[in-house]
Order: sequence, then C-alpha cells, then structure tokens
Amino acid sequence: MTALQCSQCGSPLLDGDLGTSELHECPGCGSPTRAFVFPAYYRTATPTKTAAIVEGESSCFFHPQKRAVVPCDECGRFLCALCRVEFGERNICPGCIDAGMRKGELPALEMTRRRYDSIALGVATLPAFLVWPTLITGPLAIYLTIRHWGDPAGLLPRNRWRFVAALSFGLIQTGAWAALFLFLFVSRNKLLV
Amino acid sequence: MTYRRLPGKRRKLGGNSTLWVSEDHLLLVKSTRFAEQYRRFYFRDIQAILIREKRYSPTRNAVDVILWLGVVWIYLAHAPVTALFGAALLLYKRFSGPYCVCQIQTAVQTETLPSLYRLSVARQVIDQLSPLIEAAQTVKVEEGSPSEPSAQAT
Repeated sequence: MTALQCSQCGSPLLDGDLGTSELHECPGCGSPTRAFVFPAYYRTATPTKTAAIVEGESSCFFHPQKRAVVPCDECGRFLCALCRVEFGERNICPGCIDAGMRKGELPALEMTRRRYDSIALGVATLPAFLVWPTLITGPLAIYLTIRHWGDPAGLLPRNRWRFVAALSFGLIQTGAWAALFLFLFVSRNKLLV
Repeated sequence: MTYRRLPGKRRKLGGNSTLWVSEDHLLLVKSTRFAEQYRRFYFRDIQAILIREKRYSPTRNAVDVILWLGVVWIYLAHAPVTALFGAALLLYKRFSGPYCVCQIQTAVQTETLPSLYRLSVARQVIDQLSPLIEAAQTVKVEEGSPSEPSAQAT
C-alpha cells in the first residue's frame, strides 16, 4: 500500500481524513485536500507464484521447469503464472505482446498515435500564408490525404473532415499553380510567334 | 472499444488534455496538434483519486488587477464592446469556481489529470467514476483474483 501524499508538499495524509466527503487541511502545508479511496488501496500485493513441473504435466514454453497454467490466446503457447499477462479476459504471452506492439495490432497497448488528418490540414493551410511554399505543400497535402485516408481513425471518435479540407486546399493550390504555369507557357509561345 | 468523453478540457499553447472512459479503464489523452499520447488507468488498479484545492495566490490576484486595469484602459480608449467582452471573460474566470490539482494513484504511479483543474468539474467526474471503479474492484475481490497491478497499467 503506497501512502497517500499531498500533491503540494508530499506530506502523508492522515488515515482519518481518507474517504470523508469534505476537504481537509493537509497536515504539512495546510492546503485543502480530499482523497477518494477505493478498495484496491487496502489490498496487499501478493507475489506471483509459479509451481514447479511434475512429470506428466505441461510445461511453460518460456520456462520449461515451470508448470503451465494457461495457453496464450494469440499463439497457443503454454504459459506459467509468471509469463501470463491478462488483457481483459484474454491471456497473452510476452512474445505476442512484443509483436503486437511492433505491428500496432494491440490497441490496448497503443501509447501514441500520429494524427495524419491534422498534419495534412496543417501542410495544406499554414504554408499558404507565404504563398510560394504551396508549390510543394499543395501536392504534399494531396499525397498525405490519399496515403493515410484508410488508416485507422484512432482510439477516439473522429471524422474525416480534416482530410476533406486538406484535399480541397491541396487541389485548389495545385490547380492554381498549374493554371499559372500554363498561362506563362502560353504567353511565352505567343510572344515567340 | 468505445470511449465516452468526460467533462473538462485543459487547453495549452501546444495542445490540450482530455479524459475518456471505456468499459474497464480511464484514458488520459494528451494531444499536441499532430499527435496524441495515451495513458490508461484500469479501474481495478486505481487506489485513490486526490484533489487539492488551489488557493488564490497574491500573484494571481495581482495579475487579475492588471487585467482589470487593461479592461478599463480599453474602455477609455473608446472600444466599449471589446472592454465588455474582456470584462465578461474575467468575470467568468473569477466566478466559475476554485482551481484544483487532481491526481490519480495506482500501486505503481501517481499521475496528474490536467483536464480536471476546476474543483466543480473534478467532483463531477469523480462522481461519475466512483461507481465504475468500485464495481470493478468489488468483482475482482469476489473472484478472488490476485491483487498485483496489471501489466497494462501505464
């Protein structure tokens, strides 16, 4: 059990004040503080026990001397209590966790995600203030939109309006540049004739 | 997995911070303009949520006085609509309740929840979360499962 501490001064909060409905003064700094304590606070951590294998029993894939308790729900390898990692109602081995993190197949382990729709919109709009960079960033915004249109939307609900806006701005900018170059080309040919 | 947004949003220059809740965990999302960072707190692992009310410091009072003087100066500079808008913002800021620091504690970490910076919003969110956390931990005790923190908690 980790003692609850004041976030201002680090003083341990008094047990008598835990779970009460009002703010109490911290014994160290006097800041009004309240702790909402849940049953997990009072539980004591028990070390994971792994049983040694007895003849005829299945052994852990990673620890051949230990008795297997569950199979991995991804790859089917037998796991001892030490190797078993619970994900909700599933048991997964360390190897599958590693593979899942690398491939991004386990959303529960995802720690960060790039927002390509915002990147595409930023690329399409911000350089427009300087005009000239849009010669490159216009097509780049179109590329980013097409490249990442089908990517998973993310953990949180999010629609695709940024992609649509980025594509529109990119097309307008690229079209404007194309029209300008065409105009210059035609004008030059007329002068030569 | 579907997430539901909880009240409170902390906006900063480089992005914002929000809280989301799913069936079995709380998700803290720190968002910059072009990326999102996630931290998960599984209900079964949450030991406590701490709130500390922030007092109105002399520095903050001084800043408020300067801002009010700015509003008066704008009014005197014949821009009454802008001054009214500024005054409304300052009044909202002053009377929308005290500020606080909210932290969540598990067996292995204590993390600040930036989106819960108003006491009233923090209380509202904790009122929503408490039944979910208690239900998850009650089930855990009844099942007799081991109590060590799960590996997913980050």
